[in-house]
Amino acid sequence: MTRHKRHRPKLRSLYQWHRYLGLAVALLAVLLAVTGTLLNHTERLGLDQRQLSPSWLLRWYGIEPQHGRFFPAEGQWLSQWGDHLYLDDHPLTHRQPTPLLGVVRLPQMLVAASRHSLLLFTPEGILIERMEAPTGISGAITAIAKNRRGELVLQSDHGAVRGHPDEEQWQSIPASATWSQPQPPPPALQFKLAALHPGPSLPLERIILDLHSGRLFGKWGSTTMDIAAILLLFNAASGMLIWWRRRHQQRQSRRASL
Amino acid sequence: MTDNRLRGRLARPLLILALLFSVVSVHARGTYQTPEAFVKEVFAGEVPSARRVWLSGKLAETYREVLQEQPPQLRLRYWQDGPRSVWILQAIGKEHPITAGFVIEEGQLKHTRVLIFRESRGWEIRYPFFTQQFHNAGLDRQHRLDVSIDAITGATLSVRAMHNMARMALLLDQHVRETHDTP
Repeated sequence: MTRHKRHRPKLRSLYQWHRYLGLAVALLAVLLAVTGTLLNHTERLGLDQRQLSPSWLLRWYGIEPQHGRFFPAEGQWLSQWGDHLYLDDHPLTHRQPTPLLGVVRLPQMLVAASRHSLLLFTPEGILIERMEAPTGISGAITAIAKNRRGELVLQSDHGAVRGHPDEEQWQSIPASATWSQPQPPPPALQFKLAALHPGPSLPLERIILDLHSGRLFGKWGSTTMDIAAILLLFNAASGMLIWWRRRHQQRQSRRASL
Repeated sequence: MTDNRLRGRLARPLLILALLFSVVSVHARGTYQTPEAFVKEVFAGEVPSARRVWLSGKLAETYREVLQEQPPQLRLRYWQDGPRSVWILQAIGKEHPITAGFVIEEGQLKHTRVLIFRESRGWEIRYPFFTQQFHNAGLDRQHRLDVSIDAITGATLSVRAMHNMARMALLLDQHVRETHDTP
């Protein structure tokens, strides 16, 4: 009897902890159970096939919607979507991972500039040459233009130069030119290329997985899920302990009554 | 029991080796030297004007045959000073291009260096024990390398890419010496 009295407050306290912690993590346990079950049937439910692309969700994941950049080049448009290049609506085989700054047309070639390279294309869009760090141009390229004499003008971190990419002889000039800039393209071209690049999306599986792990809510989300997992472990252990102790007490009381 | 002990003794060194290997392979990828720096080093800072060779017609066919891929562009830059020419070539190892620099004098490779390595395996080709095998290599009558290059276990495709690029560099040098392709 004395033994019962000694154990009861401990058991009650454990039971209270078990109950309150159970209530605290109940919602998270439901979330874990539902998302876990869904993830177990990813293929059957087609979660990896369903793509979601609402802008708020993409923004939440830090994904910027993809837009094309269109550069006019005297009757043609050179555009860039991600690393894809198009001359008008024809895809080019060359991939350009870094952003283009501008495009100008020289006799028998199109010249596109990025910060550290010049791309020379035939009027049909075939890559003639990719000039990495063109000789004679110091610093990164910041803008490209064509002057009234039809010469290529490049603005770099260290000033403006004029010349021809074939000769690689650049002459310093005062920095004033009408620099090539992205422009709004004809609506038909925009529509055609936008259809080829529907933009980024996320598979539903990714979102459920991130919901399951808590990563959807960043570092705090995953920490919360970690804590929930620990509390669930504690609840499982405390539940078993409560059950075992009660069983033990019941047996003892039965023996005492006999 | 003896087996378990042996396994226990082997497990830790093997785990450490595996970790070291994974760390090394991650760091093995990258730009070892930029092509510009390589050219500058070869010519001791006095870099001659770049010349160009058009990869068209028979030369384009040769390029496709040797490197087993389309020429990425219509013309290729190279640098020449007297009998010495410098070539920067790219070839796919397994999935990604390997960039290498070649210095040729009188139809023989004098210097070979891996400049940019983008693959996850096969980076051992960057080391001199491998690249020195190309020293003084030229072309035989069948327009193949006249030296045999030892393979490296686990780097077969990278070795093949280097072998093909060395052969292509010699063929390009031979082409420009024969045709005197103009700047």
